[in-house]
Amino acid sequence: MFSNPLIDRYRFSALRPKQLWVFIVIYFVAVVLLLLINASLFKYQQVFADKQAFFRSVHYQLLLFMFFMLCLLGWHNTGSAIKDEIADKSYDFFRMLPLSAVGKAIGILVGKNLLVLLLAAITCVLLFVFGYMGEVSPLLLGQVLLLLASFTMFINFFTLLNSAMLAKKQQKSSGMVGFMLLAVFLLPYIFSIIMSISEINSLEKYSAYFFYFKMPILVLISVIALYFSCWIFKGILRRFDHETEALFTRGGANLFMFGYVLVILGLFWSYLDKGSVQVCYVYWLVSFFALVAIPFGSRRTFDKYVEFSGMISGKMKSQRQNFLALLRFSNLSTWVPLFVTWAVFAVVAGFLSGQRPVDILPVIMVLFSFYVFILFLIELHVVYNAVNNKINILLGFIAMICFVLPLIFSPILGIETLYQHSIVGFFGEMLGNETIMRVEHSIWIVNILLCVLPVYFIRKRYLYVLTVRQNMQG
Amino acid sequence: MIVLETTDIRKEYGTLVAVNNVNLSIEKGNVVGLIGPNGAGKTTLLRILATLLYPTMGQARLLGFDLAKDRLQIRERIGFLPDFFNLYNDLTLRECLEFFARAYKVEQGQIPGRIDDVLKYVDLEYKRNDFVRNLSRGMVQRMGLAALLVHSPDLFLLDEPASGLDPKARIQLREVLQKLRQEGKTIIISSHILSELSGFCTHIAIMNKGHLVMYGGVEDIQQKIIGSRKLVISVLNNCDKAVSFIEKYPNSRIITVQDNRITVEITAGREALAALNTGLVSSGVKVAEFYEEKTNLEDLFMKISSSEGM
Repeated sequence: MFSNPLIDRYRFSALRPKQLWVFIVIYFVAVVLLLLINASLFKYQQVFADKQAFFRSVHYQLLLFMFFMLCLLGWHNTGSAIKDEIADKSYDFFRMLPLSAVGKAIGILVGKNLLVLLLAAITCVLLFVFGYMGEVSPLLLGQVLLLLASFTMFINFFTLLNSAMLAKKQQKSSGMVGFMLLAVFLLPYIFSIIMSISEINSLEKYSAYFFYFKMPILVLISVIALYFSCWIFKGILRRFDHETEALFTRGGANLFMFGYVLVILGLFWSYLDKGSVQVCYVYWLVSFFALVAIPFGSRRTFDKYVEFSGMISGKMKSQRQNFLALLRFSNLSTWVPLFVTWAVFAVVAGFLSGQRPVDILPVIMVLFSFYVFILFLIELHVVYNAVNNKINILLGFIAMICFVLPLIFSPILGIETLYQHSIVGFFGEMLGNETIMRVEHSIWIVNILLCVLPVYFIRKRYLYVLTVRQNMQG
Repeated sequence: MIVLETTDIRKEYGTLVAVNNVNLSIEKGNVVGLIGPNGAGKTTLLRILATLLYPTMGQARLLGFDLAKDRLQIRERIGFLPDFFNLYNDLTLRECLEFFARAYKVEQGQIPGRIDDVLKYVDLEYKRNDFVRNLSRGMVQRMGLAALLVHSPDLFLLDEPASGLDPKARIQLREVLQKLRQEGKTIIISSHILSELSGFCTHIAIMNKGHLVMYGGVEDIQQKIIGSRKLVISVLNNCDKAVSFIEKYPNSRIITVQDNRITVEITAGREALAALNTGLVSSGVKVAEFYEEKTNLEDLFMKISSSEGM
């Protein structure tokens, strides 16, 4: 890993002796000040009950310091790597480097954070020393470090992916000032969270279930963060290898959806028993998020449709066959199967919570109708963005009207069930319901009717793709 | 030896066909000038060959490697200079070249020597410890070439390398490119400033609206397009005699006669030119000058433009 030339490239600039000593001095002064302030509080204000409490306090403050370095500074450093390459016009050289996507990703993640990792390593030693003197349970320390490591990975990977996704829109990173301001405002909150967690006795022994497996809650959170970090890392690799492609392949989207609902179900599993309808509804809502989010990451662009039409031209016989082939290639045929995965798990959760098929199916049908309507709006954006780059504003406005209008008219017209016609209202009703929810069939009927116009325009655009291909070949 | 071969390479951006089924075959040591108006598809083609873009359709082999499958191997062996670029501003020239040398797997022990050599090659050795951010535009351009040279690529892809440079910087860049040519490197260089390429390229590829309109040796293309050679003959005496001799000479036509200087258009090979010269001398004409006027790229391009409707 350390023979990675990108790490060397960042080492040249980050660890240049004439600037390295500045950061090292700041770090040591900060640590010494932290000790000095705590020691003064201990000696003159008797804030701490005993020496162990003093050392424990320093230990947790160092933990906060480490969190600040690895997660917040790391977030800033990693996020600026690609931005700066683009702003400096050196991005083509970066892309041309004969390094694998893994090499590039590791090069950025490690190289950009060399100084941070160096300081974190020193802090880690101090953390152990003060933890030992403060009689902090080694088990807790281990779990907290695992959590910190997994969160560091998650945040840094996510930042790099986000930065690579927005590659063409980026400007040079705006420096440290804005970031420091944000950190200053965030730190007290993070500090209070860490201190509150530290005050929970024997936190390392708190457990949670994942399906039937009982494990320490910190470990469970860490493992889940690592699981999603792996997915994000895969996303980074795909971004480096296939810049113009969607983040998810068709198979990848389905696999991610499957993994996501499985993880969420695993977390809810032990709470889903007869009569836990509300828990089931919360599970449905939480798992539904991925269903709406994945289409944004797996969108094939209109250009890809045109490209695909070139590949099928000549192979198919009729316009109808071409249209069907394009439909199979389209985003819609990637997205609709995602719902099937969600629905299968939703039914399992429904049964576990003691619901009958007749209770589950109407809710799933309504959610499907909402989902399909959202999909059509996204697909409209895909097919019309090439001709009108403001289409997203119009579609966003339409979506907002559909989500908000029923909520407004429901009290005005005095029709109690009208607000369920909004997905927001529907989920609100689900979450507020401790018993099995009665669903109005009019909801899905209206939603399907709302889809008619988008379907018409999408079809028109698909046909246009086929026509334009004929013209291009002509 | 074929260094680069493309088969029906095509790149579409939605309904725009940026590169339209280009077939190109380039041999080792060729210096190919890729010319065409703005938007002809030159940059897109170069970026496809440099593995920065995926072609929509078609195949290509570079240095024996498949463009679709062996992208890393190709990257290791080629040097691509984009049209608008900069290098790492936070590094010194030495550090920057060291980074590129390591990235391109130059043996550790050879790196210092290689850095010295390339800095000398591009005449920047006196700047070795300066930061890249302190270089002028012309120096950055030469430094870009140095970054490619450090791993001795077998194929150079240079996209408008002289754009935005002042005349002095252009001459310096041209000198570096001439050196590369003399060393037998294979180079594809795009430009829409044809005077930059005149006398430098062995071959030209002319692109327009995504199509490769014409490709071949400079002289072949000249012959193909112009269809004839232009001779300039200066005589010291008997100008009338020379004129009447040339008029009777097969496949020739006098264009102008001025101050004992005769310009002739002749559709014939080099043997016929030699015979014409001998004939003139034998008939008592003192020939002071006898040379073929080379058609420059600009003339060729204008000629093609008018026939292709560019």
